[in-house]
Amino acid sequence: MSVADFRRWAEMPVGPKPMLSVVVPTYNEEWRILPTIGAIANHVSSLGFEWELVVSDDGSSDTTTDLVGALGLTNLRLIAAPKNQGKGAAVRAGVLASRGRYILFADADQSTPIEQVDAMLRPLRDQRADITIGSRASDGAQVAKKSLLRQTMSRGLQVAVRQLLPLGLSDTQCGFKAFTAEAAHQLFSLQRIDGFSFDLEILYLARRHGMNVVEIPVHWIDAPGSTVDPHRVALGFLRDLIGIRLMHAGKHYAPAPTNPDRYVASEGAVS
Amino acid sequence: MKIAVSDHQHRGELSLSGRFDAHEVEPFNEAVKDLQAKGLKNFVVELGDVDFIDSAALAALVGLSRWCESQEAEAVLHHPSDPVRVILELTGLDQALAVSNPQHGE
Repeated sequence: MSVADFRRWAEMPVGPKPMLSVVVPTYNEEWRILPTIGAIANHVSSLGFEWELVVSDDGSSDTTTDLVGALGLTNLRLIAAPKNQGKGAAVRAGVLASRGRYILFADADQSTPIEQVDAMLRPLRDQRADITIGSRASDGAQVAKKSLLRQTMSRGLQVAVRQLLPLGLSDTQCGFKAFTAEAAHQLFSLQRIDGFSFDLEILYLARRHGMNVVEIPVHWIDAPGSTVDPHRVALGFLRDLIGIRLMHAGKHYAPAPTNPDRYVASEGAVS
Repeated sequence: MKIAVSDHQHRGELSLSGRFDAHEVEPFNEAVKDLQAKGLKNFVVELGDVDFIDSAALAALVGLSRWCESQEAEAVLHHPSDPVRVILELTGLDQALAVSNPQHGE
């Protein structure tokens, strides 16, 4: 029934508080965005609850916003920044505009197939987590077609994270994370990093607030055609690693978790 | 992605399953070339077991369709799965390419 479900979703407006908001940040994604929207819309529409799609564009100079706007899907909202600010800014704008009880952000390249949203939502709906993060490094995760350069850079950056900002997580950078609305709005209101390191800042803030984070092993496939420069991103990431602590130093958030074991947990392997 | 190739009644058939993305375009094009080398001009691409198709793969299907047209023949996309149907619809390619059994799975 999923094509019929998709058509219904495409035409019938959802209520003011849907179950799920899916936020997709974009920057010059004219080549990839329509298949990604199709895959997300087809799958999530079949799950049997109300949901909305929020495409948060980061000042694309190509036709991304024209293509998305022309789809005319009732429950798709396009937020277009007038100029390029960074992925962190786009995700923040999308999350803060979201109305769902749960909020997932997913990269525009479908490298983490949307079918895994079910596993991401389960701990949130069961009130076992405030945040679930896709992990390519947990037991049971599967990673395919990742280039040697990307593998090396990822490993190096995760080692740097463990040394400089230890959060006890195996993969902080997977572009597939879900939140309760309360957690998302609280954290993204405080988030200041506009670039690619925003995930780290969000997870650091989550820890400061004593929120529960559950890692979900995912099946991840490298999607060619990235619009980012990996070397520039890596350098910015290292700079932000040091800056995050300073940025939030002296600020008093909710107390740290009384039981650190509650902070990080890991779910079973992806099916 | 898995590609099963056969030729049947002067028609090349490619049955695809899994994720048809940029990584899979080259093996797909190679399989097409092998069938073309046998003199086949009409093609059926079975898409019932494809769970995702990206723009590079769509471009490969458009390329095959154009080639068939240039040979006064046809490439037909058969039984597209639900996600592929939605993606074809959103990209407008459901109107530009020959798609058979569009009600499959609904």
